[in-house]
Amino acid sequence: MAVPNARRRLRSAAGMQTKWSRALDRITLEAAAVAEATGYASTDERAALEASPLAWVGALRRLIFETDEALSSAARLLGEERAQVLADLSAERRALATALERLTGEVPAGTDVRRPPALEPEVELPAPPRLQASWADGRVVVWAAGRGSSPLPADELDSMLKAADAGGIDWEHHASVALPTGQRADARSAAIAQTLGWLVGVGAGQVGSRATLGASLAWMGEIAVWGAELVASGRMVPVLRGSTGTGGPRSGTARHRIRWVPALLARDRLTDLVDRMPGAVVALQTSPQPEGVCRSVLSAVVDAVSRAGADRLVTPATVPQASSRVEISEAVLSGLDGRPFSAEAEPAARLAEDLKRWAAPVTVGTKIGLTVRLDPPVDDGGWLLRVEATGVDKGPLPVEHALVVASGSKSQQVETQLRRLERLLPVLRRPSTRRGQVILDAEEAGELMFNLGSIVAAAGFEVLLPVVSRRRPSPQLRLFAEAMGGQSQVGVAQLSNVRWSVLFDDLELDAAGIAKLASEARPLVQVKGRWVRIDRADLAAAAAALAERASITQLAGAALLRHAVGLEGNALGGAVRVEGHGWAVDLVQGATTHPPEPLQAPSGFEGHLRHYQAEAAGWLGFLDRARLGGCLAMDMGLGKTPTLLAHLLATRGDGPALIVCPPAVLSNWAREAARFTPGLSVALHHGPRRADAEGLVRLSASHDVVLTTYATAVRDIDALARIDWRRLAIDEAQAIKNHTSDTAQALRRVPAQSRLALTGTPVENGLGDLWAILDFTNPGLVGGRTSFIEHLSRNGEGRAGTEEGALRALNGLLVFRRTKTEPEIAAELPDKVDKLDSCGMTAEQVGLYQAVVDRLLAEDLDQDSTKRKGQVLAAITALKQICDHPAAYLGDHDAGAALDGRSGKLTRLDEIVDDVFAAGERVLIFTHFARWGEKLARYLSARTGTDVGCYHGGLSRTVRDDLVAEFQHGKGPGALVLSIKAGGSGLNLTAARHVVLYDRWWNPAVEDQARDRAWRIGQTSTVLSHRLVCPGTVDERVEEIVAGKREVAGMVLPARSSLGDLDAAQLRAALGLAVDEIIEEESPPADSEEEAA
Amino acid sequence: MSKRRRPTASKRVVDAKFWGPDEVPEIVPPLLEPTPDPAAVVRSLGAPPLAVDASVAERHLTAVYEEAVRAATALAAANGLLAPTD
Repeated sequence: MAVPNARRRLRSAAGMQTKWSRALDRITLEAAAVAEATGYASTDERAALEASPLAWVGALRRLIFETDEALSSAARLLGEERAQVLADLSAERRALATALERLTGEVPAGTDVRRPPALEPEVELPAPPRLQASWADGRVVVWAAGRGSSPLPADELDSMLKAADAGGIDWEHHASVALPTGQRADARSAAIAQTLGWLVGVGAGQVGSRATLGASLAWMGEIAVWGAELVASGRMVPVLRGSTGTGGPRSGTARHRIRWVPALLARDRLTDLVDRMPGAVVALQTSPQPEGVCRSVLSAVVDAVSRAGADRLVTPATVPQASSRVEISEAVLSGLDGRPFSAEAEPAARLAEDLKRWAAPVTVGTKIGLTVRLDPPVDDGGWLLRVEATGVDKGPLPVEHALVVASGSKSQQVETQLRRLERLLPVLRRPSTRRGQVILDAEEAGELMFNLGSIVAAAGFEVLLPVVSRRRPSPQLRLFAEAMGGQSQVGVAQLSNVRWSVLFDDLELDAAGIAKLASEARPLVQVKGRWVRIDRADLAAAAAALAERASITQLAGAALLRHAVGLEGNALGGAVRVEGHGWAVDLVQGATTHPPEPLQAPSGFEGHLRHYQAEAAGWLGFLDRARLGGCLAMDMGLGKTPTLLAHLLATRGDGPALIVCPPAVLSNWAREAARFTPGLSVALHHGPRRADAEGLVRLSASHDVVLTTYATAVRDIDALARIDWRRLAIDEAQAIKNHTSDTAQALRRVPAQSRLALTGTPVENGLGDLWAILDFTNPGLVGGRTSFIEHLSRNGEGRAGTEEGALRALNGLLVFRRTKTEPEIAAELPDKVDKLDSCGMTAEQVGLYQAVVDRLLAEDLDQDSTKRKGQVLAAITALKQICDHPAAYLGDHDAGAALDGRSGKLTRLDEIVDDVFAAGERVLIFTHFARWGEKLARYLSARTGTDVGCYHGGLSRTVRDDLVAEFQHGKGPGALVLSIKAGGSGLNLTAARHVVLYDRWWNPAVEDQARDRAWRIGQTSTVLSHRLVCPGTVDERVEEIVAGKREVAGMVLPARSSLGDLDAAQLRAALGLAVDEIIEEESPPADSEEEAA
Repeated sequence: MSKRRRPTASKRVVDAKFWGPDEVPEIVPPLLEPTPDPAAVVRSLGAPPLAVDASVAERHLTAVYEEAVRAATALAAANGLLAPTD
């Protein structure tokens, strides 16, 4: 601390009477002054000070000076003590200053003692060496140094240049650069042309890092960018330079060359760059002039870029030495790439002067500016183009007026600039009452607004034009409909008066308006406040579209709907905007601008409707109210079943619903209904013991929902057609994609107020599938198949684009489409969805199955429990194989026989694979039986045309690895069959979004493991798992056991030994067919794809 | 206490003027919009004072301007300086 130090000094000085007494007196006095200033002075000290007031003041001044010095030194300290030292010295300084002010009224200048220590002079830490750039003799000189740090030697400079992407430049040794400290920095230099790309990269922030670039180099980068910008704008002119200069005619010959100089420099930008130029840029200049250097660098960049461009042209040869003005002029034109040429000095100097004068209007700065204004027409008048001059008076003046009132030189400048403008806008030369003011027609105005305006602006004139939009407005037909009064009929037959027009964005034009515009050479209209040019071809198409419809003044509701979704086609393409009022208009607007409210889960619904399911159920209600049918086209796994069940529950009591589905999902419907809507009474109409026609009537009257299969529906179509169904829903509606099939034709006979189709893949083979579905749900509404496909095909590029475009066009009205890939839906989906698909048995399967059971029971079962168990397990294996497919059981005995049509499970697998492939996704198929798996893979390969492999334990590791890699990295639809033993664990097959467990395994853990090949880390989508089971067979017993174990003990295997202990009757009960439960596999549709074509 | 004077204010100013800021401020470079009419500026000046056929001079100059603008555009494009087109 200062005070104790002063005291020590005082004590040590006390009593000393030596030759140093004078000095001691001074020290004693200063110590006393410090003690007094800080409040620690003794009586003697105070008395001594008061005895010598002048000396006291002198001591204080010296002390303050010394303290300031100490503060400056301390400010450069590093480390923890800095703050403390600064605080101590500042406190002492404040005390001394206060004392001085008290004694003399004098406030010491310099350091602000009132500032807190933290604001005391900042430590100026040395700046690390960075790449710097100087300008010398038209070359870029680089070196590396920073304030307060030593410059880098040449080798480190080279490394730094390399790191800053400048290693490819042919740098040359350059004399070292003198720094302010007296040190010298090693340097390299290169011509500007060589460094151009790098410098522009520096200015663009594309090369090097800010940590390695010094301010001088960054500044030069900025200049380089500006130079490139000038050339890109055409803002440069050629001037002629000779080795004798341009100072006037000389005798003899001299070398000359063209130099490109910047034109129309923005003064503000130049001033800003000059102000910000670091001194390092001119470190090599003997008498630096910042603006001169700035212009020099900029000119060099402009020259280099322009020459690079000119160098690409082949120019004619000229005489070796140009003597006449003609020869020199030719040499100038040939030498625009900057190549020097010899020319007679005197005529060359004259030409150089002439070129300089010619270029002066754009190279010599002037405050005179011209503004071009264009005003839109008023009351069908023309467009007013006028020119104003600035810089003559305080405000802009009409140019004609400015020419009169401006002083001599200014008037000349206005004239010069106006002539320049007139060369670019020749319309200004047109005879007019006032110079610089003309009326333009629409074509001229459009040319100025869309083309010439930017060119005139680039040439240095201010241009004020009406706002334009360069986007071409797409014409769209508009149909305004008014339902006819007194009409009692509402719905597809309701007639409306209609009026047609065409919309160009928000601009509506009728036929007369279009004809008027079409008569103009370049039609200009104002759309959303911006002027746009309407394409004449669009106008012609719009006129044709309106002419086509001139006679259509009334339309029925169905036709209105077709127009609204683009099914009527028109020369302008796309849908028609339908507005007005009436049934169809309300419907369209209800589907587009005012979509129906999502359905709140109705009372009695056990579960939660996801938001898109609630929207879908709301849409089903909308269809009900509109008495329309529709296609619920949500992706697989998104919950079409609970959605429809929620709708049926919400509308319960207004009539029976018939649901037709494939046999594999019949049980699933029943289960889901019991789970989500236990309040709905659901009847199954299926199997040999199903109700007859009379019974069916009673069934429909006493139940909310009747479930049946396609084949049963076809067989019982007469009975079904006798009932007035409120709703008919067909699940897996792709079953009717062949509209000529017996199934499709028969189902059309079922009367229903509304028909719904449920499918995840409404377009499997083309838009014809979608037409078949929609024509079923709304017979006749969507028009003919051919026109449907033709009109909707325009909605997208490529097949996939076309199909999605078509679905988009119809979405919300006749189709409700949602996919798993929509982010808001994906976010709501669970990680995995398990589905149990109940599959039918063909007659061949039933026969084989029964035979195996009979044979087992007819055999003398071994009395030994272990052997007996073996016999039973062998029989179970055989039965499971038969459930899979007869070929899985028959093995080689079945070689060469076709597989399709012989197994309910295979039929279901086909459906699943079709859906998966239609969605462009991938599926894993697990089976217990490796040989069957191989057959299955071959079958699927042939059926899908995609190579499907089979992964099993009999393959080498390499082959297995290849199969996995191919599946994982393959694109688009794909499938892989796996043996559950070999592929059930350890693999990572996240490319699959679908898993099919073709047959059941005793241990549910094995099934879970298999499914988890697809559902594991890396999987980003919901995995949909299908477990295929044949009800009424051992297959289902396994399911029962598995389900039981799952609930009881999780992963524990069933006690198989118990099977060996069963007697014949018990075995028949355990393994035999439960006839009532079997789903009889229906014959495949007789119709073929060809029939549908 | 040291009697050596600290660097003067003028010295600091000289230093700052020489080196510029230690940390180079990040400057967003302007995006370039190449002119649709490269020779507009030179055309606005009228025919150059060359003793050759005016149309020949204009054709030649226009060709050079077009190539120069192309070179500048390539330079800008290589460094991410081109303004996006409509």
